[in-house]
Amino acid sequence: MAEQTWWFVARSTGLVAYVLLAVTVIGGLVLSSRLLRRPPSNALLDWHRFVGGLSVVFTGVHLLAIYADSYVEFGLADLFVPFLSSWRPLPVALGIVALYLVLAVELTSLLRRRLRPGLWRLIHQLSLPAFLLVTAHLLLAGTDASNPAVLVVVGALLAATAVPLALRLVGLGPHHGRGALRAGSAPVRRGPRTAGRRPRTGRAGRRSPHPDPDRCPGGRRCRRRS
Amino acid sequence: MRPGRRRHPALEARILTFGLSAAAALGIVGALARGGERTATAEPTTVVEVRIGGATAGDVDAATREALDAWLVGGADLPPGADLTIVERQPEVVSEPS
Repeated sequence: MAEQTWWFVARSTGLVAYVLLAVTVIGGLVLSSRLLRRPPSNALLDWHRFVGGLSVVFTGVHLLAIYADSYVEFGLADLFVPFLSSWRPLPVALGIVALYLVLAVELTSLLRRRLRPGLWRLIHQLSLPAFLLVTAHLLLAGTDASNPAVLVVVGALLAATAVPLALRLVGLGPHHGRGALRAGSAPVRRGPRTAGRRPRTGRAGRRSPHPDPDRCPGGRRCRRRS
Repeated sequence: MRPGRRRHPALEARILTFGLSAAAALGIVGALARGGERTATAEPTTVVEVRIGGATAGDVDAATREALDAWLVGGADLPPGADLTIVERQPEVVSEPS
């Protein structure tokens, strides 16, 4: 048992990281859609971020365990450079690319307030291809890919991802009405309606910024068309 | 001044999620450890059973065995009277070196 402990840890943490990533992606799709009547609460957004972070932590333990296990020799470069591994190069490379995508999503979420909203959103949408790459990595490289229980879980998670994604594609897209989702911050509180009017000016006579900067391309101040 | 520090809004959810994830990981490790050894890839293997006359490879005399060994390594023709039966079997759990 002792000599295979790292191998077991690698497999178990890989599976748990996959489920956590799937829950994060599904949660993100639901939270940013109009499936919810109200904008999501702070607690829900916080949980979404926490699960994503936990997925990265379990992925880190997964990599550490693979490195520590002596059955298949993985050097550090094999773990982080695609196609360098002699063991199943393509499936391993898929996992490495997915790792970088997930890290990009996670880091930009941590730096959310310093990034332009459009850039953050663009990078955040990479979480979906990352999830698909991880799924392929699991099915092609995973020792447990032939386990029926694992296949059932993978199928269920893919189906659970497809539903909110399909709803988004048919028009139940992100909130743009009563408060758009802004991950990394509190739900948006919109200012008073100004459509059809001239933009309000502040006391100093300066044009006031748009109440929802997420809707301004490139994070610039928006001017409403009158 | 605030009377006390406000608790994190999603603290319970965080604790529950972390606990469930850790428990799942440990549970899987336990299940794998109970399952024991590494298993070979579940691909069908071909088992070649060699029959020589009425005898199988396990109970032939020394001369026949020698001829059979020579044939197996490609060094000689199949012994006279030998016939091959090829049987496809599913693999059993095979221990791999660790």
